Amino acid sequence: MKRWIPLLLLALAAASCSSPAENLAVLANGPGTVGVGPTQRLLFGLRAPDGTELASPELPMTLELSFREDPTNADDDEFVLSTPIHFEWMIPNVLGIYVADVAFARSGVWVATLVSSDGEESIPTPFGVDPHSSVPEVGEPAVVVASRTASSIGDLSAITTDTDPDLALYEISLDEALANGKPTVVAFATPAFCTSATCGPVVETIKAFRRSFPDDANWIHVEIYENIDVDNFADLVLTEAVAAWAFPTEPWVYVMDGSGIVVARFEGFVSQDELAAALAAASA
Amino acid sequence: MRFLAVLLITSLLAGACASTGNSTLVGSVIAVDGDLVDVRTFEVLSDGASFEFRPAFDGDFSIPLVHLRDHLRSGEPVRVTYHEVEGELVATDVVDAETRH
Repeated sequence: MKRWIPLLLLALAAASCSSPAENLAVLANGPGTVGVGPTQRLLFGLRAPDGTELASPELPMTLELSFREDPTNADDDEFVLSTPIHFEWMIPNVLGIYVADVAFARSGVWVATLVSSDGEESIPTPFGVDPHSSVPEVGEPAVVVASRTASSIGDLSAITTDTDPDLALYEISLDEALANGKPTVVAFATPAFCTSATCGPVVETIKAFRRSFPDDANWIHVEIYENIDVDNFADLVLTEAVAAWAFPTEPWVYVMDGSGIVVARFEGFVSQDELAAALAAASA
Repeated sequence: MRFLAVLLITSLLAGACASTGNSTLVGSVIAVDGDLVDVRTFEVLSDGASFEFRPAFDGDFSIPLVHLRDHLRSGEPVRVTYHEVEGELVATDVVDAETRH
């Protein structure tokens, strides 16, 4: 993936500058996280030329995907598929994004175009698909690693930046949860960085579900950083669990079955419907 | 009098050349190159044009730059303070923007 990034950024800049009158599809998945094989949950914003976000439930879209055989030649794009893309609220009735579930058969540079119901197309957006996602995929074993708990640390404020923490999310370590035979739902997130209305509050979603289904799963929140109170953000250090999972972005929510196999994974946000379906699959 | 005029113009030109005045831009994040601890570059769409920024090494940023990925997802605007160094746009601060203009 890394070798494609400069090419992709150049292509994206060229695309946005060359056609300022058209809307731009923006892929919001992290670098290296989209891979060949299992169905991938792609996240797309849609920006107007002035930067305004257009994604809306009132603006239905179709996703068209092409494969670029030669990453340097946009004329070489080969149309592969057209698939429905649906709108999901990240924050109910406030902020949303388009979501598409796509399985890729080959790695390389792909090109996404969002097409409205009246046929208006966005500027084609190139993006990389890796031979394998850089983070655990659906169907693979979860990474077994200890996470900090209230009993191991003592001070809850030392292990979470949630200003209204649910103690139950810090009672069991991730490695112990993955071994006790119950499904596990874990949110890797830093609530302190989600203070403005720009991100899906995944920890709040997990807390609400745990209250409704306390015994259906192990419920865990893992902070991204060891040292949130730094003077300089460049000094942030990842927690051991996050480093072990090798996330390039946050937040992530993972759902594992009782055997510790990943049943679902969600980057950026998870809707209540998505989490309910994942929990049902993990419990089946 | 002529000497004073020349001195004044010279002073103004010298002042203008020495100025490294910061600029600001409000727009939507459309690309972020980086990970959870390091953002190498990011790109902002504003008024139909895209601008690529490199964070200043000594920047005192109001928000952690990893937060830019939230803006990438949401499309909510950011306000970037920057200056230009040898053709490169160097960001010295980024904040959540209330409005685009």
